[in-house]
Amino acid sequence: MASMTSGLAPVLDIQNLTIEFPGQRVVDDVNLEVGAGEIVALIGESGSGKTLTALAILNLLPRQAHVTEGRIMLNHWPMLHLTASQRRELLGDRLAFIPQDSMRALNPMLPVGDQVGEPLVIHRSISWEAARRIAVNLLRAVHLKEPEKRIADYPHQFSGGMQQRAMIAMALALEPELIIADEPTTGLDVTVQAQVIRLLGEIRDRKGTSILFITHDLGLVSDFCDRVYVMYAGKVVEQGSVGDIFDSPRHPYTAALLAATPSALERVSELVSIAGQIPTRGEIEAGCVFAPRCPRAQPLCAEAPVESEMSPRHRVRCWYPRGPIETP
Amino acid sequence: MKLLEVKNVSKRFDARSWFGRPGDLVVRDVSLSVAAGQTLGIVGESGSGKSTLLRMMLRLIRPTSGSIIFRGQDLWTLGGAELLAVRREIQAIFQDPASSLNPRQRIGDILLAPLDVHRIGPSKERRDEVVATLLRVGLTADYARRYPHQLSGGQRQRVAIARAIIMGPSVVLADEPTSALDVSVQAQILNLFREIKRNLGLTSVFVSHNLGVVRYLCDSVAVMRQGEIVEIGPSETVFAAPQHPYTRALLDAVPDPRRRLLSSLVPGEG
Amino acid sequence: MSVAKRTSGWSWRRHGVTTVGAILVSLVLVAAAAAPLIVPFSPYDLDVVQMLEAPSPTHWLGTDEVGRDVLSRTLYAARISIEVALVAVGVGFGVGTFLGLVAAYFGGVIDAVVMRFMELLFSFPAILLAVVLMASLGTNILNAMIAIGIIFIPGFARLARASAMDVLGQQYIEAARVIGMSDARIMFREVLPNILAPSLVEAAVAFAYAILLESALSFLGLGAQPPEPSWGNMINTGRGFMAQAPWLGLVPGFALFLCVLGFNLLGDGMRDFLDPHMKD
Repeated sequence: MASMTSGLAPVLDIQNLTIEFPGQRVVDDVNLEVGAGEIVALIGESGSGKTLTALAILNLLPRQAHVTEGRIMLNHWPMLHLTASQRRELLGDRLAFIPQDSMRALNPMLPVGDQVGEPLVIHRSISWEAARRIAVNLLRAVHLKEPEKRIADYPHQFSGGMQQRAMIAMALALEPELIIADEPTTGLDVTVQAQVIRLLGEIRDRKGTSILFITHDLGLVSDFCDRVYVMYAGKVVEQGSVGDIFDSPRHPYTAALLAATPSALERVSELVSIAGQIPTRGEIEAGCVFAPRCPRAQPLCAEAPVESEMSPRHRVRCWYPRGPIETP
Repeated sequence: MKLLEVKNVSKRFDARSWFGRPGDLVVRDVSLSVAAGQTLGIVGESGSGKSTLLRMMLRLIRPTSGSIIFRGQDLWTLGGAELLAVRREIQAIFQDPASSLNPRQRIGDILLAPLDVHRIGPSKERRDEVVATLLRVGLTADYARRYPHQLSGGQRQRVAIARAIIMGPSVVLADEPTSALDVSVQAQILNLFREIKRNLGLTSVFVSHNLGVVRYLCDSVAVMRQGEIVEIGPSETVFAAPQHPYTRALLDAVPDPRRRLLSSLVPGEG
Repeated sequence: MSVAKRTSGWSWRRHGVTTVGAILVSLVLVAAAAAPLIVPFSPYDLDVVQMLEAPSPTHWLGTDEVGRDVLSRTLYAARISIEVALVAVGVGFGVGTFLGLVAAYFGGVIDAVVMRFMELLFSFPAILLAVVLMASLGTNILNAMIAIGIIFIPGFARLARASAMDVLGQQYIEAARVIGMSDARIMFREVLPNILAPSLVEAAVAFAYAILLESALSFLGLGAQPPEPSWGNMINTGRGFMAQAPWLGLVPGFALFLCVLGFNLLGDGMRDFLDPHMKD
């Protein structure tokens, strides 16, 4: 299955993914790819389904959620059909996860060095001493000062930014092919956030690791990601390169989201707010999910739009996409 | 006229723990003022002291030294009826929509409370005032019967704004009121806040770590770092031509989709 | 339009235990309330001819050593137990919750003094404390109520204080202060409703314990005085007749068991029921 980006097979290939809670569809027919060495952003607000999509890859969906359709391939492994032991082998090794709340993801009772080294002990069967030595190098790689001392510290002795970097070090331990980062900079200071983003970029440059970066913050994405998927109410409404999305957003929702983001770098006279609210799970109608709030909605929008290609890598799910250089 | 003034305010918290250093100065010798009808933004990262400063301006925490002056009076010299009168004038909007509303009270009762406490208007008419205020923040009368957990984050913040304005205060102090909201909801709440500010002639202070939000709403801005103000001035001046290296570092680090646009305007780029 | 399937609703697996508790408690309460109307005999009527009779069609649960009907006495004893438990838990819950709330709200010296005093009370074994209190106050039912109530105060105080400290850290309390609410209003209208749930659960469990304590006291002769029937003193008398008339001790013992079990099960189940997020 050739990827959109190069001729090679993608590292992560999600096809027609549909996830349902009893009686509600929360992720609908999502197709998503991440190529080797690519940084792909998955953007959405609450209720968009972005987190559930990521959890499906990791098989960490909540108990009531079920994948009713679709395939998820990590290289040649079918993620939805693995046995428990196969999954245990893959997670941490080929596929790593950086969760949102690093403070809660670290065990407060164990020294950081032990936690960072743990994947090595489990997957590579090396001794704890050897793992700790490697942990020192990992902490250095994420720019933590005095890593030899830091491995003996406990999580509460680390600041938020340092904890997040420790989580990244843990994710890197086994040199995975794909890192899934779920809002990894939430709650961090702006300057620390910039460092974490830069670090992830470095990792991709140095090791060719692919990254799936999940966020609600458009600004984070524009500097460091290659391609972007925009989700709304369970569907991918637009996908394309960073240039496509930010310079010429074609879906009314993408454009509205950009127009609603305040800027410190430029004087914005009016933030355009989108009328209405994000639909709650039970309220999603048939037809275009964004139609109730869309300023361009027409009668045809009562039918669910199909994806159309604006340019080779730029796709929109809309009957009336905006023109290439329309202003909001 | 300077409605609200902060004069050389410092705050040190007492040492609570048995070990560890005695409390550091969380706010160091801060002075600023807000003129009537103006909006002052206070930006800073964690540890900057901005939230502590705001709470001192709300008379929730006592300054270790210095004073907070409202209409010429030091807030901490007031007591009893005088203090109650001032409380009516200075109101607040807090950050977390989930915890700023009492989960066991209906919206209507939450909004009625300030009117009851200050005995505003004949009690029969207070419910009408609650409804009028709900409409003013873009909600409908039937929201009065609901409980906070039945509302979305954006709706809860509208209620928080309603609670802040229902007594007709002169000053509203806001502590990161949109940080917990989605971008599209944030835009709605920011626009609502702008409109209400204009209609009611409010003076306000807006604390945030989000520089874009502060630039959008505020006439002037103070940048705080580790308890001190490192730069203060009109928004457009500070944002367009920052003087202090820390301000410049913050602006460089801020995630901004428009950065692409601006950098792509640099001549010579391929 | 799709609608979420209700995940709530009654089921044996989730609510079975609580329902059993509720049934038992209801039985006891009904028995206690209706006792004067439903007893076949007066609990005080002596009939020496009929003493120590085994259960029979006339006396369903037999008679005791002076010919009184055991069934009637057991039912009346329920009244005593419930009465004592109600007052005792009421006192403990009321005073304890108030003290805990005040200690948490004002902190500092008030907190320190109140909680040290609570710890003092807590450090006495319950029965010992009750005995000492009764010895000084006098042995009757009213004093039993007060004594047991005092025993409960520290537990409720601690619980209320912990819950209150949690609530006091919430932003709606800050908001209340900014509005200018008085301390009293904040304590009783903002904080108190949010700390009641765990305390009410504790109260249900305390009810069971109160009944047990009352029985213990009357077993020792310190609670209900003869001829008032109490499960405790009935068990005490029954002790002496275990060979000839085992029903004398077993019947009140079993009644006590069912009652305590019921309140414990109900208390456990109440925890879920009182969660505000179920309020849709």
